[in-house]
Amino acid sequence: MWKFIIRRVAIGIFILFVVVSTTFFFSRIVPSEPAQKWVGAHATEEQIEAAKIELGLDKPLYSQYIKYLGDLLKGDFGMSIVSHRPVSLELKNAIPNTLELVILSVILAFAIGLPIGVYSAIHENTIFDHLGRFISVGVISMPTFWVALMLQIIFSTKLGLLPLTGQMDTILKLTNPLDKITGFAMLDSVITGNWRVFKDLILHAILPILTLMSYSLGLTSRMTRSILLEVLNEDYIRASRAYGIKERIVIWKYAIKNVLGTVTTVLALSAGYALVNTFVIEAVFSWPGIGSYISRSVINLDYPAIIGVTLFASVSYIILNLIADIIVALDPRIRFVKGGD
Amino acid sequence: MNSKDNVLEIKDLKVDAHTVMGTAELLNIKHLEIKTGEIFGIIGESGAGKSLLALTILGLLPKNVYVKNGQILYKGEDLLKKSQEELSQRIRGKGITMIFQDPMASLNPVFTVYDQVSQVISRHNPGLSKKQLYDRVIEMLELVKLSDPENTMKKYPHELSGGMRQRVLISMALSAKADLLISDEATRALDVTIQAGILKLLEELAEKLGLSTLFISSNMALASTVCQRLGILYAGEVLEIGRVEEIIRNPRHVYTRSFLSSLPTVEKKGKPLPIIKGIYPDPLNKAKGCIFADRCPDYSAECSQNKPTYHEVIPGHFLACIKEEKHKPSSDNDMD
Repeated sequence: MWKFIIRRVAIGIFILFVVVSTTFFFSRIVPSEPAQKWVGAHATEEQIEAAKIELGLDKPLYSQYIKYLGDLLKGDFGMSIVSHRPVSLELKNAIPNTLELVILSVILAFAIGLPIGVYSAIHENTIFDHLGRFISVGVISMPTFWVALMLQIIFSTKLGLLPLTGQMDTILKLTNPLDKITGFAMLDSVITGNWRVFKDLILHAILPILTLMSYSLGLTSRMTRSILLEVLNEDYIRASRAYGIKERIVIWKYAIKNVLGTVTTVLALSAGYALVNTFVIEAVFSWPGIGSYISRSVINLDYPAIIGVTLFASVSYIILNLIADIIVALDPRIRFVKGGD
Repeated sequence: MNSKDNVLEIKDLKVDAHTVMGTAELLNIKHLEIKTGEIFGIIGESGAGKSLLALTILGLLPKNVYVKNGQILYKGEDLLKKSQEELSQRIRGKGITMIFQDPMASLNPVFTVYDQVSQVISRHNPGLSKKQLYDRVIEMLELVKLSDPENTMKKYPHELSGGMRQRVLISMALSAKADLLISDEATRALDVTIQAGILKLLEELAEKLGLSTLFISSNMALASTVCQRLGILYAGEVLEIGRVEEIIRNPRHVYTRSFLSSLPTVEKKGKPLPIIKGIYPDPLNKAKGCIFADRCPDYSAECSQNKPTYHEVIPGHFLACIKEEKHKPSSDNDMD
C-alpha cells in the first residue's frame, strides 16, 4: 500500500514539474508587457527599464525559468504584477473560500445522490425512478453558468430569499469582523462562536453550492442506480436472499459495499470537475475564491498568478486522483496484489 | 400416499413470464413430491427450468416471472400464499435453503467468510452474544470440514479455492438449521475430484442433519449415484419420476431413454453418439399435446391432440406418455 502511494506521489511530482514548465513558457509566449503593467500606464521609459531589471525580465528566458523554479521550491510564487502582493499570500486567502464550496458541494452531492440512486434502483421503472433519471440527466446537461443565473433570478431577484452575490454581507463584515484561524470562513465563525456571521455565510453559500453540486449530484445518483441494478443481479445477492437475510441488510450492507467503490471514485474525480467549475461560478456569484482570482489574472496576463493557480489546480487533481486510486485499492480483491497498481 | 411423509409437495404448478414477445410458459408441473429425508434428483437439459423451479420454491423469481397457479406445500403450508417478509423470516435459510452452481459468484466478494456466515446465523438466531456467534461460525465451518476454520473465516472469497468456497456456501446454507436443501448444480463449476468431495459431504450432511435434498443436475451419472429418486424435467414439464434403478435400467419415457442413450460411455467409444432430432420447444409457443411429440420417434396423431395424463405405471413410478404401454424396455440404440 505504502509503496503504491509513494510511487503515485513521485509520478505526481513529475506531472507538476511538467505542468509548471508548460504554463511558464506558454504564459510568456503570449505577447504582453509585464514590466509596463508593473509600473502602470503612465510610466516613463526609465521606470519600465528599472521594472524589467527588478522583475528579472532583462535576463534570458531560461535563466528566468531556473530562478522561478528555485523560488517555487522555497514556496515563493513571485509577486502579482497587478496587485504587487505575493501570489502565495493571495492564494492563501482565496483557496479556502473555493475549497469550502467544493468540499460542501461534493459532500452534499454524495449524501443526497446516493439515497436517490438507491431508491431509484430498488423502485426501477416507477414514476420516481423516471423522474429521478430525468432530473439527473437534466442537471448534468445544463450549463453551469445558466443554472447559476436561473437560481439567482428565482431565489434572489424574484423571491428575495437569498443574497444575489458575495460571500458575506459587507456591513456585517464591518460590525462583526471574523477572526481568521483556519482561513475557512464557515469553520472560523463556528470556532469563534460568531453565529450571526455563520448564518450569513450559509445564506450566501446556498446558491453557489447548489449550482456547483448539480453536476456531481446527477452523476452520483445515476452511477449509484446503474451499478446497484447490476449488483442486485449478482448471484451473491440472490444467495443472501435465499438464506433469509433481511432486505434492508441485503441492500444497505451487501449490495452497497460493492457499489461504493465505483461511486466514490467517480465522485472524487467529479470534485476535480467541480474545482474547474468554480472558475465560472465564482465569477457569476462574485465569490472571493480562486476562480475569481484566476479570471482576473488571465485578463491581466498576470503570469505569476496564473502559474500559481494552475499549480494549485494540478495539485488538487493529483491528490483527488490519488484518493480515487486509494479507494479502489481498498477493495479486498485488489489490496493483496503485491507490487501492482 | 400420506402427505406427512413429504417435506415438499408441488401441485399443478404453472409459472409464466412476461416477455416482449408475449407470455412464455416456463413451468408446468402436475405433481412432484420430496419425501422427508430423501435425496430427490431433478434431471434436465439446460433451459429445462431446473433452476427456475428452485427459485419458485424459495419465492425468488425475477420481476417478469410469476406463478400462474398451483400450490407448493412445505410441511403442509402453501409457500405461494406467504408474503416475502414471512418467507424471508421463517422459510428461507431456516426451513428451505439452497446452494448454487457458481460458488465464486455466490459469495459476496467484499466481505469475509466470518461476516457472511455470521450474518445468516444471527438473522435466524437473534440475541446470540458475540462469543456464541463466533463459536457457531467455527462449528459450522467444522461441520463442512474446512480445515483451520479460525484462519479461513478471516479470508475473503477470492482467497479460497473453488472447493473451499462451495464448503463455505454450504455452511452458510445450513447454518440456520434448514431441513430442505436445494442443491442447484452445486458441483458443476468444480474439478471432478473436488466434486466427489462435495458430493460425499452433501450425502453425509443429509444423513447427519436429517436433511431432505432436492438435487438439481444435468448430469445423469452424477445424480444417479447420489439420489434415491429421479424426476426428468423437459421444457418445464416433468415427464417421468421414479426410483433411480427404475429410471436407469427401465426408462419408460422415450425422452428418458433418448437422454440416457446419448450419454457417452466406454462401450460407445468410437461410435457417434445418438442425438435427439428436432429442436427444444419454444416456451413462447408450446405444443397443446405432449411436449415431446414433435421430436418423438413413436409419434402418432393423438400425441399432439391431448396432453398425456400423468399417471402411476408401477407403484411410485409416474409417467406422462399416452403410448407408454407400447414402449417396452429395449436396447439403447433404437434411436438415431
